[in-house]
Amino acid sequence: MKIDNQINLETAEGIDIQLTPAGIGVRTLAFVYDLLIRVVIVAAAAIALSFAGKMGIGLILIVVFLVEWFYPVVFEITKGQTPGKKSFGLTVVYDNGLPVNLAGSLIRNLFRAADFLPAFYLLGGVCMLLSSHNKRVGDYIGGTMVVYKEAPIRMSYFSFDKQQKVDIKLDEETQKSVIAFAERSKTLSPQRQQELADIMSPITQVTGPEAISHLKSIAANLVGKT
Amino acid sequence: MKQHDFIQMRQKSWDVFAEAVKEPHKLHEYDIDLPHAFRQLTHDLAVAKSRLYSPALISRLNDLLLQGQQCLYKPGNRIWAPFWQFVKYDFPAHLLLIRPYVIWAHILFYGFALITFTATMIEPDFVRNVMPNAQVTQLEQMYDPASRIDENTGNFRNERDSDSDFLMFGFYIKNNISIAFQCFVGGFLLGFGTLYYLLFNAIFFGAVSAHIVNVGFSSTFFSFVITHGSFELTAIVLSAAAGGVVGMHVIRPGALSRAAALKRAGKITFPIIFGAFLMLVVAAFIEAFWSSSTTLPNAVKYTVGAICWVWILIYIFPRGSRDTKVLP
Repeated sequence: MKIDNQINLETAEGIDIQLTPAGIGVRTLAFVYDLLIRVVIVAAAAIALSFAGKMGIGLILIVVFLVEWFYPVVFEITKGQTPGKKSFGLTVVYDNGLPVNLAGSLIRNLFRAADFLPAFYLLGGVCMLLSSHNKRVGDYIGGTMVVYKEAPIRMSYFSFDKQQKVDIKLDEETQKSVIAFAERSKTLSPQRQQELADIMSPITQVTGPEAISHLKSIAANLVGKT
Repeated sequence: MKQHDFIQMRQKSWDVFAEAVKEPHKLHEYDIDLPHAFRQLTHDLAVAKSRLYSPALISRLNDLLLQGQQCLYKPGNRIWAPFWQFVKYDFPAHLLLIRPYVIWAHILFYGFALITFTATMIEPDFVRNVMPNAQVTQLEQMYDPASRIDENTGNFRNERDSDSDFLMFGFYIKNNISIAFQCFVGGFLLGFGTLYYLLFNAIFFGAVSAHIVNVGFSSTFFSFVITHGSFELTAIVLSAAAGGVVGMHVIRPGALSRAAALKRAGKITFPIIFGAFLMLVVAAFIEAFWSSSTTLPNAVKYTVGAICWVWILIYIFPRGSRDTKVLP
């Protein structure tokens, strides 16, 4: 059953790479974050340049123009993400998963003006909700998308107290779940581990604290750790 | 082979790979055949998936692969060459592709402008059908040659200071781009939106020009608009032509589904919109820093303006065969 929104990108080498497109909620948050930064930049420029008289007002307007149109472009082509996107772990890539460059970034940000129509990003929002990859108009035209940039995954090596003799046949999906449980156990509280282990009790026939180490033993067996 | 043994066997080369792709620009410092290592990694991932190894292992390999792919196939980040390529080839090629729309947009825009121009010349009060009285008065003030000589009339002095040039630059960009986008996006409403905005602006433009002539301020007005008008009006007309393409694809998708037709229309028109955007930026520059200057004699302005018009018309009607397809 597919309950996530991951997409598979097939590479030239014939393997699928998985990416997770970012939804409208987190992208809105990132946008607001960027908006605040932009406001701060403009406000700082305004304060600094307000001493420069009328010429200063002109320069402030140039700053406003540059910040409005090129703030995202500059960050996307140098870092792949604006500060707002970075804080929410998002990044902009092309449809084939490669980092965005000038052409794509310029187009997707230029077409913000179309996304904004008729007011407050209504068109862009509707477009994102209807799109399977959460793309707004600019993303469609630039051939880009916003995906989660996952933190580097640390392979976790789970530990267990004592090896137990296990002789249970599990189907493939259950095997995977049990291994995942063991590998994630470091990030779960003991109570949560207990809850999860209890779900398995009809199969393992063990309850209580024993169940956790029992499951880990099964996992250790499955991955070939002795 | 169990997962644990598999990891032990391959761990070392994964670590080397992860280290190498972390800093793509320092790749030469590592003794690694990246394409080979990458293919090996894809193989590892395929093995891990088929043997149902744990999700953590698979997602780590997936992550490594993604980094590797981005490192191997990263598109170049050149800035000027693509721009030049676009201005010299892509934009004219797409203009050629939609030439009938470009011609029709010109006919509609200047046709209706001419009609209201003539109407206003014959019946000066016609301008009040187009815009309210207050705006008419404001307009007259703006182009009144007298207001430029009088130091005390406020906004428009002999020479506008360069700081307000900057101010107007920001204003023009915003205003023009929103008009151009309205013309384009109107195409999605079966093209009626495009028609509405194009004709609205044409009627407005025609009536205003004629009114200025009627009140006798034509020299300040035409010397002001002629140069940047070449870029600005053409950009807006081209946006409308692009909107027309979109509208026509919605009305008459042909053998395609409407969604596919729209996608196709988007592919054809986005270089037009991008080109129009560039033209509007140029226009805003000219408008703010050249057109507004009062120290330049009008003869110079008219000459430069005429050259701009001739150049832009040659540019947007490139020679070539429309049978040469730019799209696959």
